[in-house]
Amino acid sequence: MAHFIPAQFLTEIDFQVYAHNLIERTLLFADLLRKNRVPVHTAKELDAIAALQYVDISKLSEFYMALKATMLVSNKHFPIFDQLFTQFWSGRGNASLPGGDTSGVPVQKQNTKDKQRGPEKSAEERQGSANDGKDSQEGAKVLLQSDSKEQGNSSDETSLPTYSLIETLREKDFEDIQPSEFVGFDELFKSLRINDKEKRGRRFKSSKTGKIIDIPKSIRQSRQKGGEIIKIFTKDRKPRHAKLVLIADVSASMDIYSTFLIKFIYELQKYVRDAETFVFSTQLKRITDILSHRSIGTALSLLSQSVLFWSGGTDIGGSFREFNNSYGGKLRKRNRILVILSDGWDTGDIETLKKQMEIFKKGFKKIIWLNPNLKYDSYQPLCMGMAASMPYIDYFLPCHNLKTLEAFIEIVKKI
Amino acid sequence: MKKTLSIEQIKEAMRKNSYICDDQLAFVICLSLAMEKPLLLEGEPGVGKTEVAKVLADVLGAKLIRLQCYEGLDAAATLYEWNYAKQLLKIKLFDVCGQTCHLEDIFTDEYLIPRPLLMAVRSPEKAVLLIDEVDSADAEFESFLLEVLSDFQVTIPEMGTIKAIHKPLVIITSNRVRELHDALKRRCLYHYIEYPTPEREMEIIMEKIPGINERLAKQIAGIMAPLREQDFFKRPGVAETLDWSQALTILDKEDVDEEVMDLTCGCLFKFKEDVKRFKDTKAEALEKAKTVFEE
Repeated sequence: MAHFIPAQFLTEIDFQVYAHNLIERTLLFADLLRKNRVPVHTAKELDAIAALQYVDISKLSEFYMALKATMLVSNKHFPIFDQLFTQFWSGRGNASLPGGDTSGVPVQKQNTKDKQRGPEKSAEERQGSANDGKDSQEGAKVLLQSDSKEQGNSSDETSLPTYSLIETLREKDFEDIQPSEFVGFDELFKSLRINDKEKRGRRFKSSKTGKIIDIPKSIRQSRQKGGEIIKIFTKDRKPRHAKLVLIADVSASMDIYSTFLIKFIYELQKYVRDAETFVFSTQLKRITDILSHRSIGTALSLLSQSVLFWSGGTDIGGSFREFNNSYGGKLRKRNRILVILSDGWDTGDIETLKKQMEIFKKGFKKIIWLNPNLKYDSYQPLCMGMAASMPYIDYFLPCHNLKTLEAFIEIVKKI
Repeated sequence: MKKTLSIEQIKEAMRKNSYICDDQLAFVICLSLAMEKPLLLEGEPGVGKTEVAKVLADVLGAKLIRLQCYEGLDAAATLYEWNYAKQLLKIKLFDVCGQTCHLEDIFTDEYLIPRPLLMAVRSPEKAVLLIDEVDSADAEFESFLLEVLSDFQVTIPEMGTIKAIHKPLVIITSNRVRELHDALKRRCLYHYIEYPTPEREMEIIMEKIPGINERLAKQIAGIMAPLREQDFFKRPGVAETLDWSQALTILDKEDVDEEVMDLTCGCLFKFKEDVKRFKDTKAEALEKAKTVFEE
């Protein structure tokens, strides 16, 4: 990873010019970070200001590192912090950025009113958390007083564009994603996880940290000590895993989406136990083993070698029949959720599809159909394949951007 | 920096203890010392997170108190325990002598076994407390840690509250096995240790492996940098580099060639797929290494 030194892009002089009333601008900067989904807690803001007492604020590099160390809590926010830092403290709204990797990103501007509210809000919050660092607050107060003389001419300089990079990327249609944005995207994909420890089932398993006493086990173990219970064994509720069976359409009509969806499934399969994945267009293929590779690069290249019917025609009914005949007996269980990713464009036999969907309905706990075309408000499931399957589907959801995939995960968690 | 130790001093002192640290790390350490706040270090495995604390203890002339976290770690193992056996013996002794035993007699310092956190708080001089791999402990332990980290005090019901005379310098390391709780992160300064630049890595090799020739060190550092940009399952850290350098010096090699790369790839990669990939791309890696230092 390349090291970013803002001093290259932001000169000391720039910094000197824009760095008066430092406290207020630091708070504004924290606000700007928050708007870009960088979690900067009030306590962290106080830390940042407290840190200013210890650094030589006339030196840009020290100032930069102080803010970075105090405000951030994860290195995944480093790039956006660096970018915003350069823009904010140089005072140039659209400063040219290091590297070419952000060139394709659209910029969202918000009106200035929003930003002028910033410092007031932060100040309120600051007072709210009184006991979390009194020393630093006092330090801040002293500095604020010395700055107050200059406040008169500061109002016109608070107008800065606010960026919402991640937010736009989340809501961006997979169709419009530029290759330059892939890097940020892969990171976001990793954040989509189903934490399977969250849900607790009805059954128990013995656990050291459990709160419930396992009476039978304690008594059983006591027998070797002559019936005296020396050690008390505890148990906890067994986490309930979401068991997924994913069937993804990789026919020509799904071309734009399939790469992203496969990546999504790859990440999903990593964190969900017992997930099974299949792809189909005119045939069906099980790709669970391929996707369980440790590197996504290897997995994808293996996939392209072994799946020969990629971007082919579509025979949904036929593929489902193949699934039911070859894998159905093992995978069709009432504790599994079936997820179908397809746009429903079908050239196969509709009656077969209906019949297979009926088998699915009986065999699986729930059926979720993810359809990228659902992004259009006026979309109606009119194409034959979709219309025939509709009665059997429990959840019909869009899947054209990250936000919708997040929504899908939320639903899986609830089932 | 308006404080006792400047960045340069820290760097110099750490170099004397054979830890080559960059400006950013030195700066965060300074800040952490000045603000008396815990320092949370994250980074890929094998970049020297734990080493920072060890070296820092040497630099400051302070005692290093280490708390290695693991699953199922609880308060008893981290704070204090009463020495029950000794207490029972004492009661027995009172019994035999026909004296009456008071609770105050057996809940004293003599019967207390201090564990790392209490040791750090009670330390008569400034100590360095290393909480290693905090992410492998349970979430419950993390919330328990909060009290200690924010107030540096420990409450023992029988004895009262013990407050730190000197706030220890706390270094917390995490490998990101799971995401840490926000409340913990909020109380710390944060630094992410990146892989070193080729120049710095060369310095590290020269420092840590005595007797290695400069050309070999340069070549090794040159190979490592492009290697880390590749998509391995587990990328080699500095620790692996040092192992490899050691291996090459033992083999008495003056030059890295494809044959020796095959032989010693076990030092760098611990997964079958990674080893295979490394063997496939070794010629390319050697080629790239030549240009690294020219850039």
